[in-house]
Amino acid sequence: MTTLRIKFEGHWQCRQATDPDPSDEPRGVSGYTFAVAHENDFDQVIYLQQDEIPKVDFRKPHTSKFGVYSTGAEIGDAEGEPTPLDNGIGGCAKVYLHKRPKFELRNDIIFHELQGIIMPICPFDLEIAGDRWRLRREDPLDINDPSVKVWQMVEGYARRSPKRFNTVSDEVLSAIGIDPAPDYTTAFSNYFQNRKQWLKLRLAETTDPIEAEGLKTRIWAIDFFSQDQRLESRLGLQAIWDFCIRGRNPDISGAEDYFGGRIDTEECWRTHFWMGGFDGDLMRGYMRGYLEVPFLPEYK
Amino acid sequence: MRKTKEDFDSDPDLVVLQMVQRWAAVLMLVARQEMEHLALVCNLLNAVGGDLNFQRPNFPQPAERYPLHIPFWLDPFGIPALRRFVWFEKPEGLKPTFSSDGYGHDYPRPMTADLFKTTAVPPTRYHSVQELYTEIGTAFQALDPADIFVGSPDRQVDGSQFHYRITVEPVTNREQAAAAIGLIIEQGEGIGLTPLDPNGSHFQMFVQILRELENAKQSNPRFTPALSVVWNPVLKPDSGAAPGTIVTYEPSRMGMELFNEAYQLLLAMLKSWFQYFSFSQSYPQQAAEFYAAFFPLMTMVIRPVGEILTRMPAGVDGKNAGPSFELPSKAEDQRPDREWYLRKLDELEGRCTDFRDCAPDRFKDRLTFIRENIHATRLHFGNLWPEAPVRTKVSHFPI
Repeated sequence: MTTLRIKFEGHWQCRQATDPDPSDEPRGVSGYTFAVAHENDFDQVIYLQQDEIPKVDFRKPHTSKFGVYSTGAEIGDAEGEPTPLDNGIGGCAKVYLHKRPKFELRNDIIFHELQGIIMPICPFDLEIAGDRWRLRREDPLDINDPSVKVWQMVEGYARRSPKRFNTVSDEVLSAIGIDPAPDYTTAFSNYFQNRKQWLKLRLAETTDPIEAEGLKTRIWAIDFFSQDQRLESRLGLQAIWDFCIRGRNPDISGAEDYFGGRIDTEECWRTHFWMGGFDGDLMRGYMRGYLEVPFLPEYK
Repeated sequence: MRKTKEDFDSDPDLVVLQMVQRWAAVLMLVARQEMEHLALVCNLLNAVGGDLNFQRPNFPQPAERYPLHIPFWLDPFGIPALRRFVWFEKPEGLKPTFSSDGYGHDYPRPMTADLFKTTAVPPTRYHSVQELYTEIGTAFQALDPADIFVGSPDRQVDGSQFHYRITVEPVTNREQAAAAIGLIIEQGEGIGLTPLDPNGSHFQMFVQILRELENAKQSNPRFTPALSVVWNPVLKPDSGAAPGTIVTYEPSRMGMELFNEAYQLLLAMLKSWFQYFSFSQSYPQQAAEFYAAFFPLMTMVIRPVGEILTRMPAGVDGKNAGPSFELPSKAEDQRPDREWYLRKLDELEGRCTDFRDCAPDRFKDRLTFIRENIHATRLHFGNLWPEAPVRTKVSHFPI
């Protein structure tokens, strides 16, 4: 079976309470993430595009491009050998996760007897949207009863959880621009010390007392949660997902014309991606992966 | 504490809100370290073959009830409460200038606080927590190890189970006993810490928050960081305690019953887990209790239900209710079995549903979330501890 593989990567944001705060904690108390000053309460939602995020909730500094975008496409033949599509095809499309998805750990309640604590993203409704084409499909946790929620299951979500965690991944560090020299500990510490310096400069510049207090809280949080490396320990972390998207009635509007072939909407679509490099001050991370759909090219 | 914008009647002072948020984070750190101290004390007790006892009298208790002569009661976050905790955590020999209950001419006692009638306990040798621990430490060093280390080393809880700055080491010899006690009084009273140590002791943390709050109130005398909750909320009078404030608003009472049931279940799990812990073999009951007690019940049920209660009417004096932490007069004699736990979790889910149905609309989403989490906890608890015992392994991955 031949496949169309669309690759994607970029920065995402998730303003979420972190353990041991309850996962619906609105401002942050005992975890390492805090909503400060004018910012809205946490919503725990994973956002892949900046235009989905209220301006007040998008913290500075963010120097690189935000958002998850496609980076190219390739055709895989029956043996799995990839052939890149023509230059530019499939690139720069926006990637979305719809229906307000969350990392569903619920303070470790979501659990699997063999895998331990796991972390499905629920709901999972992926869209890659280019110019006049889109590929969108949802994966219900229970294909026979899409209304079943994660808290009603014991192990049905295992396939939707990360297949592997890497505590420190060089791929992640490279993606978020951290040079792990001279060693990981020093590099992570330097990363947040540099952030602290930026925050202090901004604090010296601002005349807004509310912004100032928010900046103070961010500086305080870096100090407070660096004591046990909780902030630093998430920087290199990588969680790798790999599963089939099985929902009925996927949306392939314009995609067959754009890519020049037939897309199978009955077979499952596979997605493989990692998320990691979580910066607990900005509440942003990075992801990289691909969507793979069964595909029959129409050769001319 | 007031931590969201909705907790203020009018537009909150966001500068103050940030300060309160930082105080809350520090207080939660203290609470987590107190859990660490509980685990260390359980290890010390297990080392000497002692039995654990989690029973205590209900709130409020007058100062004369305890050797330290500091009252045990529940009042809103504020200067009197902080002063009392400074007293609890003060290093030996240091005497604060304010009274041990935190009240005085500047903060008059609530009227019911003067109603205590009790027989004072016989005097003891110690006058501070530090002195008590020091005496225990001395006994561990002075007595023959063969006579005191009679508990099974396998029952020693190892810190690898815990996270979030929780350090728990086994106690199987004199050195480990000294280290455990040393950590408790270092984190509590700051014994062994330099004044500039960035970790700080509980005593230092309470003093710091007290100073900041006093300064904030000097700038704005009307500033109150706490929600307006009644003093010592209770469901019913208790002959073993001084009079509290009986909450009369029925929906709040339902919430308090839910809170107390969850709290009692938590204590049953903790006692069973610590008392029968086995390092070498994580058997199903141990795995299930560990899974359910430390996160689901503490952080996803007890804490949020308590937060909701402090935002609901008490039906008294126009103030809000709060959690009462009431215990039955007598603890369960038997170690709970699987069916008891599952029945309790079922009951909790039912109580949560009832509470949600009568709670104000603004709490319904959160209570729905809590109910879902109780449901999930029960499912996994039953799965981790199946009727036919099998070996299982618990791992942990924090976000």
